Amino acid sequence: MTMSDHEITPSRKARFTVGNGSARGGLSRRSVLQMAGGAASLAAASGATAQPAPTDGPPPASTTRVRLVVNGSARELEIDPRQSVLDVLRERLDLTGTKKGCNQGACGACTVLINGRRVTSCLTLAVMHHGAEITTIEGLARGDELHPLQAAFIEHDGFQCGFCTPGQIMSGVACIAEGHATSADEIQFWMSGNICRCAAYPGIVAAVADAAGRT
Amino acid sequence: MLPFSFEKGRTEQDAIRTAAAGARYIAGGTTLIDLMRDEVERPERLVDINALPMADIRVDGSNLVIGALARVSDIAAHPETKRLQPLVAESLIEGASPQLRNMASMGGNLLQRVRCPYSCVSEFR
Repeated sequence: MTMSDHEITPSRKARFTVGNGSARGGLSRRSVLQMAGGAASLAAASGATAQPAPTDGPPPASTTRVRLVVNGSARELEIDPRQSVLDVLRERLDLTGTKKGCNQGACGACTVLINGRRVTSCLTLAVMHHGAEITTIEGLARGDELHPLQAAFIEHDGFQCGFCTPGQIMSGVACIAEGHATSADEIQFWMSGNICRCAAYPGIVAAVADAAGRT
Repeated sequence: MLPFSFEKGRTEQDAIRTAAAGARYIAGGTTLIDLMRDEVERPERLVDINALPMADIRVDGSNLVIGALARVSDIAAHPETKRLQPLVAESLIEGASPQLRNMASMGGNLLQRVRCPYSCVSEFR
């Protein structure tokens, strides 16, 4: 077998480069989507008819105005009623810490707090939560000071790839506040709405138990 | 998901009138939104009934009276449920997940569509 099949040629490297996309001269999928989202929200805010974003798909339906208090900041948005809270957080507010795992409410990666209660943000429409207080993973730390549960996740090795982790932590914060973290068995039962493909479960349970003991 | 117009039902009469004009009720939305994404359900108008005063959990003699908009998690955690209908409390927490139970209404729970994958495809709508 020759090495040529597996050689990292310059064109292959460019195709696989992610993040700031510097190998492609400054354009990445993330920056294009953010520019498109920004253009659409600017058009809506100025009262103009929203133009379709420069991607495929039908033009947005009529929009609805909604006020959301996200991590303590009040945001007034014109949104398509079809957008879930998850969609609005990630695509309109650039709060990409909350993850879209299954988009069906089954995996828990999209867990946020709405008015203090944990919910799967993929399965609820943003227009249903006018005036609500939403807390995401970005809203837990106080500046540089991590939330005790965030610190516990690091201490107890509560993640590998980290994709489920924001949802785990938001769910864990609520689990502790609900009083459902008094034993490992109880934590496993009351965190069963959050799945982890990397199977970091022992670390997750230990982190929640640790943080529960400190609160 | 097909486009729809969204309105908030401010009173029961309001919501009923809107539904009579063809709107679908949405409470927790944990079934409806899922099926709307698959375009199995295609409402053109939704009326959000979550603000209606139907979420009480109370006792009437030896009966537990559960409002249709009471959230499943609240019903399961209620001391009166645990006292009068402990099996209801226990069985509710065996279903779904804590997050979904915080969203799901009891009325919606009872009205939930069949979950069989064969019946939840748009071809068999």
